[in-house]
Amino acid sequence: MAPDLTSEGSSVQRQWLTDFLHNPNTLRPSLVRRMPRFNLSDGDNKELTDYILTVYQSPAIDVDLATNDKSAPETVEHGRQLFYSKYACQSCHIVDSKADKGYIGPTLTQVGSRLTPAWVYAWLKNPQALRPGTTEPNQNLGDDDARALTAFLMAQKGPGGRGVKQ
Amino acid sequence: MMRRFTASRTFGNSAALALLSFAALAGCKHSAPADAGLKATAQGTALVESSGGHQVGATGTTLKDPLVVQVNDDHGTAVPGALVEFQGSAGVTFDPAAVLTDASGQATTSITLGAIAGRYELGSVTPGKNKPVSLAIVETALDYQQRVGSILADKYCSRCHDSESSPERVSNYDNLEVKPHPFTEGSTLNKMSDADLTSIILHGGPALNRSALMPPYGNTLSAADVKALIAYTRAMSDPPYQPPGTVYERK
Repeated sequence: MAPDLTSEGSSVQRQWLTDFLHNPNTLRPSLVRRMPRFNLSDGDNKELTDYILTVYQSPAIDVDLATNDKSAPETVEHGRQLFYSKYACQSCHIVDSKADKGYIGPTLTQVGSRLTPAWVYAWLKNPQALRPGTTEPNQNLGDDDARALTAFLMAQKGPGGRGVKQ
Repeated sequence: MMRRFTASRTFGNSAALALLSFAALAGCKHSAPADAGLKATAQGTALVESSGGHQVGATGTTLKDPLVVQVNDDHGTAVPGALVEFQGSAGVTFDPAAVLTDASGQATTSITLGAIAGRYELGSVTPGKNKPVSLAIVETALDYQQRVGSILADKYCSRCHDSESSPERVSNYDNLEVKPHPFTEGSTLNKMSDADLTSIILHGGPALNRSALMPPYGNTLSAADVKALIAYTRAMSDPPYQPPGTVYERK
């Protein structure tokens, strides 16, 4: 019913996880079921966040991967072109909330504040390796394409920082 | 000279079997009429389908929803108490096979499909005032491979290729700039060969110079999965898909 969290610690960023546990906005509008809001105290929230980030780590994800936040603008632009033209990710994902409409996969408007670059890169290379049975197709991306797409996605920080509804 | 035969998925192969079944059914009908004891109190002049047509089920199983047909008179008003008989081919059974329409003029039966996969053209008949009135009903039976395909299609394809939303599955069809072809759209899909469909599933839309909104599934699905999906789309096609016939190789 709910997502497998085995590798959640390798997947998400601390600030996002804390915010999410306080108020679980939906990531996947096409799903019917929603995570409940548990009204955690700040202490409980921090403890849970620490636990998830420490224990639920995947050895397959190299968090120190070279793809960093400050990619060159042309790499980001290359990633945008790959996203919209070559791989047409907008059929299932929303990056520009005004223009894109697909809602099969999670909304990516603030994915750069949510996921770690290493996770995004590994996911793009082989989604089924991280979540067996996921419907995201394995596009058999080359390293360069995957790196450019990761740079583009990590540049999506969301409209107004934390607390903004997606 | 060499000859190659392409196996047909229609009833052609089993014509003899079907003939036998017909003979058996006909025999039964004479000895014990299905409408025994049913006295029609009224006659209609038209028969329309209310629900339960165009269902898909596994071979030999009972379809999920009952078939409901309605008897109307000249003015389109429902006629209660009219006799409706259901007729099937090759091993299809109805429960009941004959029924009087209820107060709202509707006759309901549940359908159990035969053991052979394919498209079943069934009939319902009401005696009418002057001459019998009949209505054709189409149901589809899936074999094992086609059922595997239907499960895969539910998971990977339907969200975009099926424009209808359900409580469990929101459709993405309306969000796409280039509309996907529903698997029932025989007018388009029947023109595409198995090789075309394989290419587009494995390599995505651009493989056939179509939209990139259709992603490649070649690294996600197995070869057997793709074959099952194609078998399923062929079974769902309307108008029905005609597999290529016998191919004679030129010298």
